[in-house]
Amino acid sequence: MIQNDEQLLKAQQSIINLQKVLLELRKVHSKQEYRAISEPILLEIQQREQDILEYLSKTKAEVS
Amino acid sequence: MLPEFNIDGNLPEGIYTIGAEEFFNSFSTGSGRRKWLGRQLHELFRLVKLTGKVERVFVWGSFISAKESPNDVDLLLLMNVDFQLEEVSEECKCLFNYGEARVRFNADIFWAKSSIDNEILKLWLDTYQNTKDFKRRGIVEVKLL
Repeated sequence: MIQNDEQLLKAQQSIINLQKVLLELRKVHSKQEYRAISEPILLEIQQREQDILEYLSKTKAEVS
Repeated sequence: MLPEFNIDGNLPEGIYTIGAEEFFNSFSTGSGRRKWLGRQLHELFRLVKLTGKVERVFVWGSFISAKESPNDVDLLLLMNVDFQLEEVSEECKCLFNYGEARVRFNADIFWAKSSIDNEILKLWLDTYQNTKDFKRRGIVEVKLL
């Protein structure tokens, strides 16, 4: 769970990293392989995006 | 030889290469949960070797931490360049199906061919050196062969 702005930036960076990984995986794998490979990574990105939305939905008072 | 766990109960940041025997001696002893996960991993590694195409195996997450009862095991299998998913035997197919592997082994299995760019592999492994509470932790590379 994200508790401060510094952690928010780290979560955002990890999503960017995983997106870069996906773009590379798509280059070197077949369609069938990419579908299988990308599934857990996409789930992970989705989870991290959800964490970001939860953090951003809180008010300043709720965060501090 | 693995370093001691840090104050958070994780290996210090870095990638530590060890053999399978040291891996199981270090992490599949103690609690019943660890022994059970270890048995799942023994079978998982047997199938990985059976493919004849694995180059590297990385493990991270709570299984390689000080946690008494880890939830699951997180792995990345790096397969040979000539690995073809459609040529995998029926017995080994479960390794490459995320949902099936999760149910059968209690493991989150990530995989890729070793032809991926080395810098991207480093980035991938670096990303998994972050815990869910944004602390840095180590990863283990297990030498199966």
